[in-house]
Amino acid sequence: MNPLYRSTRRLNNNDTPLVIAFIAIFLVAAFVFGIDRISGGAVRGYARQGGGAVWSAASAAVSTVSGSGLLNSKQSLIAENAELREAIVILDEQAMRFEALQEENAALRALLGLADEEGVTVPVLSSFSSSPYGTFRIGGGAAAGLEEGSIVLTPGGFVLGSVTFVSARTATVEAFFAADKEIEMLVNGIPFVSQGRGGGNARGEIPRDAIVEVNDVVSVPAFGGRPAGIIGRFESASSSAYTTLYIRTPANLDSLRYVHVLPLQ
Amino acid sequence: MKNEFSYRSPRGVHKLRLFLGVAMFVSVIFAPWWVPAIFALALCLRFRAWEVILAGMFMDLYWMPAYIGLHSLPVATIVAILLVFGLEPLRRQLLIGPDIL
Repeated sequence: MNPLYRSTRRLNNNDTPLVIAFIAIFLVAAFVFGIDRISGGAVRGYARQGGGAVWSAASAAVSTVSGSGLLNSKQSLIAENAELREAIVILDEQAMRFEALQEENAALRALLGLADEEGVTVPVLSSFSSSPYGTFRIGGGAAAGLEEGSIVLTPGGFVLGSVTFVSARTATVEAFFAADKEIEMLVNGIPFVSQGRGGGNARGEIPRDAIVEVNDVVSVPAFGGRPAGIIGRFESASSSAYTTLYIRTPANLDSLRYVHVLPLQ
Repeated sequence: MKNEFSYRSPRGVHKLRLFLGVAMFVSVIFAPWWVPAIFALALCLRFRAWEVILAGMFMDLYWMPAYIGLHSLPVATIVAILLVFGLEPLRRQLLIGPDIL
């Protein structure tokens, strides 16, 4: 007999009844998530604290190995190359941001008193692609003055998302461009609703007769007209009354090491 | 006594389960979401892997932006439960061994 095939009858005598196991697991899951909700996120806090510690340990180990000279020469060139690429991306992003601010937002920001606001710069603790929910972790928490709802920006000033959970030293940020997340935006004075596609990309539709160009800045009215992305490309079929915009965050999310967090207004 | 229905775990099967389990938990933190999904699928095809449900709960607790509720379901936990129980009949009938994996 094929050893990969085994008798169902024999297994049924020994295995735990599945219905009982299913009910038990459902109850355990409901208990854990219920305790988390009742306690104000205590269980999540422990899980994220543990995960953050693992991430920090791994990051420190990688830094130690990289800095020890074991992988030098080629490694140092790769690091320098990455830093220069990051600098170019930041400069491009800042140029776009300043242009947008000069043309559209300077007066409004001054009126709203946003020009003098302060914030904190914190490290990014996780990859932007790890979460199935479009979230990422940052290395600042309640101790650094962060609160739920605080706005998170790239170093160039583009809005990335908002803080949704805060523990003592870390926080969770939900990206505005998380998959299926909808948010009201503005491009060249035209309001529209964007739908997140994940990975720093979003899509939206505006009337076909509206004039837009590639690299036009898209802003979020709910956050003082801050820029959130640029138009990567747009399409308009002759049979459609709308133009579809493909929006992206100009920063390279995979190379972002630090973000800027603004306190609640 | 060994008959034709008896099945002994080949050497290394428990190590395989340990490796897949550790890799699954580590990838929840470090890798894109589909990497732990692949490990979970491999585990569920070979074992009745309760740890897959734990990993799903951990993923939800670690990454979810808001509290669990009707509008924010713990998708990873639900998928993990579906994997463990949904693949049970297939796993019972056709045991996929490490030589195939």
